[in-house]
Amino acid sequence: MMERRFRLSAILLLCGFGIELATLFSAHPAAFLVFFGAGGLFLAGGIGLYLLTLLQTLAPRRMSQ
Amino acid sequence: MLTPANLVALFVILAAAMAAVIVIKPAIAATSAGKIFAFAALLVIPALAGWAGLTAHVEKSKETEFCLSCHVMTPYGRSLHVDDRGHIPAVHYQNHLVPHDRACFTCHTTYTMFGDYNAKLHGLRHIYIQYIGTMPQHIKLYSPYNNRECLHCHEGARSFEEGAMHNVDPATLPAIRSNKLSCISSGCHETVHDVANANKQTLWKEPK
Repeated sequence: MMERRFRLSAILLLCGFGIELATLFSAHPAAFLVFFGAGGLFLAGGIGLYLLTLLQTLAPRRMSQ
Repeated sequence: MLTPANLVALFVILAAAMAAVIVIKPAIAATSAGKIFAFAALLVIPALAGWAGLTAHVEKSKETEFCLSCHVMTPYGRSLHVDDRGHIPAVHYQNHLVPHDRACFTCHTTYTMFGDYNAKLHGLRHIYIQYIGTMPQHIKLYSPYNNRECLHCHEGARSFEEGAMHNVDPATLPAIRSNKLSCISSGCHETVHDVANANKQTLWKEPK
């Protein structure tokens, strides 16, 4: 379960990095919009999923202690 | 060449490579060293890469090319090439009195503590209007142009301090400094982005 979530988190991040690389060299407002809207969403999603997974795995351990 | 954007790109490629390792072998996160690697690959490095990307985009948004890439700004870009010394933006642009690649931003940011952030917030609003909102018939500034922006460069300069018209009346310079008399008021440096007549004016041909 945890491994699947880590993999999904990494895939989301890869999508975010792809968008970031694709828009990085363009000096056009559309590039900024795509980076901020889509790239930012993927990056935040990837990081958020990783943090959520960490919290969910740590919480039961604390409860049992 | 190692430009800041290239450095960010290299960092993003490194971050992508680390994330790819997790995609290929997620079981790596089961070991102690793997946990640290996953923490870096899925949290620390992506957060830094995202921040670096955002910074690079914000820096790019200060470029003249960026501002003039919107169709609505075309006449304003044209007004930078007007072959007339009375046109303030044209004189500044053509004589490199402002950085050539940051001409718009240099004059249209506010030189206050949060001026750059305010300019960027306005920029976000412009992007919203460009793609989602309705373009106004007549583009105008949010507030009257403040002399502070001119004085950021001109104050202390001999041409400003000893300028004939600035010293005709001893009250003129204090009035300019206190923003009571606008630099671009009628009779002074009044021709700023004369877009209505941009098509009728002779243009300076910029050397390649």
